[in-house]
Amino acid sequence: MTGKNETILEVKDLQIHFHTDRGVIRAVEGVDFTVRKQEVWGLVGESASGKSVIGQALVGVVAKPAGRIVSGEIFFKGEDILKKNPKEAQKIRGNQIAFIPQDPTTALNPLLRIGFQIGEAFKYHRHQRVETISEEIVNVMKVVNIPSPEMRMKDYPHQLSGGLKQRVIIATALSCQPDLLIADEPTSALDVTIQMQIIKLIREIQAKFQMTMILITHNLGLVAKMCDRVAVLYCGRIVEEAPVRELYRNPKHPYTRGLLASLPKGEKGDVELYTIPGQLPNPLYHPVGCSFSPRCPHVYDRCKEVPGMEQCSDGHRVRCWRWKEI
Amino acid sequence: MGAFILRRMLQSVIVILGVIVITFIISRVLGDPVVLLLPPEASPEQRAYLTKDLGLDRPMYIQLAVYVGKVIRGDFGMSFRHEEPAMKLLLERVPASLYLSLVATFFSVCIALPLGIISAIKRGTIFDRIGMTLALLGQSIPAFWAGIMMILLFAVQLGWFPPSGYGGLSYVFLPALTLAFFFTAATARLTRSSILDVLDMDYVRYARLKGVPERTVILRHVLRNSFITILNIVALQLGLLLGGAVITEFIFSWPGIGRLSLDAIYNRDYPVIQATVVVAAAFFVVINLLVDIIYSATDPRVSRR
Amino acid sequence: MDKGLNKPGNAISQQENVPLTLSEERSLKVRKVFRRIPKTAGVIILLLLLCAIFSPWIAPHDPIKQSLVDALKPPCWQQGGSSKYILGTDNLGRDILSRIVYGARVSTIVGFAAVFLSGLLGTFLGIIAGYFGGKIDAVIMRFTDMMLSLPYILIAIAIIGAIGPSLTNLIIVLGITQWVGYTRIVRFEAMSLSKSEFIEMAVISGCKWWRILLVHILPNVLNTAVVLASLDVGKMIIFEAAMSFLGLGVKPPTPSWGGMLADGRVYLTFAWWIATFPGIAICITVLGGNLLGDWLRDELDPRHQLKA
Repeated sequence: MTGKNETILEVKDLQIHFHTDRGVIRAVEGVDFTVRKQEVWGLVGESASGKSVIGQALVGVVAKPAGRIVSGEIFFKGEDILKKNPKEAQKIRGNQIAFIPQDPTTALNPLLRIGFQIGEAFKYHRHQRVETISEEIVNVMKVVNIPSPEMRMKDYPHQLSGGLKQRVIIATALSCQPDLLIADEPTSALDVTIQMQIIKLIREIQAKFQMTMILITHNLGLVAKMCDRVAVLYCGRIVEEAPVRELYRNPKHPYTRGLLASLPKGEKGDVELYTIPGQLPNPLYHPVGCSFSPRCPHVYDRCKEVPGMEQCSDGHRVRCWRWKEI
Repeated sequence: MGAFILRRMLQSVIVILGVIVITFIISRVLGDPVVLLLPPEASPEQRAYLTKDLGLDRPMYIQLAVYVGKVIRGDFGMSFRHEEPAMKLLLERVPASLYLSLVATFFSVCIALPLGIISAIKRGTIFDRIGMTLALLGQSIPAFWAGIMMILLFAVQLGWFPPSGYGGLSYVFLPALTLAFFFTAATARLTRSSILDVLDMDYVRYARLKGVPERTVILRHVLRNSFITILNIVALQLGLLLGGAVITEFIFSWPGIGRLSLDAIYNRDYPVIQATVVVAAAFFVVINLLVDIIYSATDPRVSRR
Repeated sequence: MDKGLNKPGNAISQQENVPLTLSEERSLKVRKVFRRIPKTAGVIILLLLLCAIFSPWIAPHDPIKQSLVDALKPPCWQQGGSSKYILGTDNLGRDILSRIVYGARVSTIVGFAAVFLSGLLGTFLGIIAGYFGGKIDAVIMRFTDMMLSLPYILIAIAIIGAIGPSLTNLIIVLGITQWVGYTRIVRFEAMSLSKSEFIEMAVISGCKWWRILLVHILPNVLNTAVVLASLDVGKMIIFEAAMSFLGLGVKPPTPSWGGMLADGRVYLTFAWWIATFPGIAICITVLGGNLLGDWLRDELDPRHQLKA
């Protein structure tokens, strides 16, 4: 398949800090990864792991002035988008790289009609006139299965249900036919039954348009359903990355193992759920060395040093000193 | 939307009625009209006669009802000092006060809104700091002292403006500026904070995410969504200006209702005082009601269910 | 191969991440807070309080003593002035500087007392409206609306005009007209607090309503009330000055800044200093109050935590 293994996104040593009154939060501490064309790449982590921040950095909306991209490069189609001036960056946002935020309710301006909000990105990137836009808007609304799009265009956000609003957001993201789609927890703000619909919709769209997608989530089940490859993030560092099947069958990092072990497996009877001992560290004070060491069952003295990334098999890398033994 | 407006109108009516009752209570508490109207040498018979004539011998709640009934029709009785109906005296002066208030509001809006908006957009920069420092200073300076200082500087020393009196632009300039002083500073700060609130909203961030140019984000998303809050702030100031111009009118000898009421207070002319208070309060209530009506018409969450 | 994190520079930055002991953390916090105390506001307020409390020792002259021979002397740096009367004298030969120092008393007393009174009333009504809700809330809110729409300057002037000017009367009148600002905001907070779980628990465990209000709700709205109060002090001082300016404040010959402004207005054209310096005193004092209020608000508002 042409272009299947071509890299569309390469992130090198990304470091993002947040300056607060109480100190510096090192949200992202040296993250490297690549995403290939037409694949679905997952980024898994708990809250405060830094996963959302990475998504924001990719679209260039890290909250200033507190948040700063301290170092790193993000190569999109070969060019470092961090080095671009604001005008060029604005042309890429929404156009070639699209973003689906977590909460569709707050992402929509309550005073503007949804038809307009869907078409807004299109209007600015294609410099089209209003008449052609309505057609495009209706088309993209049909793609996401919004019923009676011509009428719904004139609605305001508060008149829509949660699921419909998320569809509107997805439609907006698709409107400019982006090369890369980033979805940040696309279902966590929705009811469970709606979640299934939206997941199905996203899968269909990805398959139909052969889109490259980055899925940011804490939901391992979602990752299993949707992703080709997945990276696990802990305290701002990637600790393991592998193709999905490989990761679930053969997790090498103690944190990944803990995560997978704590999934309920549908066993009958009274079974106690496994939980990873300890707690997430205070974001202001990450532990010295490997950030997982305070909670790791396999910790030993070398863990005071931050482990480097090592390849353990084809496409599978892990950041742990002891991955060979455990 | 209709239900909302109806409810607000009802509230406004209740508030105005309440104000009328309060003025009644205050003026009764403060003094007996008979004592004020008659010279001290008046005989007891004369007092009794006047008391009956004014209906002051009837029970309090009847007096209140009569009073409210009259006020609703605009009848505040005759001024104690001048031989004219209090309402008439008041209405003669309202245009002057309105003129002053509107010019003051105009000044205020022209300075405060851009200051507040730009300070918010350029949050943290030197512009922001200077702007907000100016606003803070503005709030710390007593307006009437600023008025006096301006008279000293611009009228006495420089001779650019007349120091007092009623008239066109050169006469209204200094008083309006004085009146606008505090309000401009407060409005600038409030505008800035409400724009900041909107700037932090997710939909603003999302619009940027879509690749909308920053200028459009500001115009279409930020300003449009803060419009009603800012309108509220400005309307609040305007509503207060009519009744709050007392000292400014005094300093600049401006023939408005503030001056009138000040004289009335010195002269214990209760009908005029009551009329001024009720009219000023009603003005405030009506302006707020208008703002709420505009709000219900422009916010789709209220205008369509 | 990942190379980023093992760079030599990282060893030092990683040492910063050593978790502090509890006492170390606490003393670090104290030092940080101390660094942030507003120095300008503090100095101004301190100066004000010193002037108010120690006026006989700070003021160079007796503020009431008249000396017609020395009347209308300009400040010491102008021609005709002397170092005896640094800021000049007024039309009755009284030293301006001393009157300003003594005037601080009136301003301080009125400022703090009026704020206290209005704050008390407003917070009280706000808590009741917020906690009980329903009809009580509606009544209090309508009453608040009425008071809000009354032109407070007129009302204050009218009342004092009738009952006579005095310090106490002024404080009372300010107190009963200015409480509205507190009620709305305190009510809002009290309402959201009342819905929280720990209040429910208190009710369930049989706590009486007045105890709940006093022990559970009041301390939590106190933060907001204090911020509002500090922002109001300046307003009250200006209000007092305005009243004194109109002759409705403290009775002469007690020096008050507003009264001095009224005196000075008459002589504006040839004795500008009588009106100018008291006004500057008011500005500085109110500025200090506003700075303090702003600082308090920033300290207590969690949203303002992110440093620019």
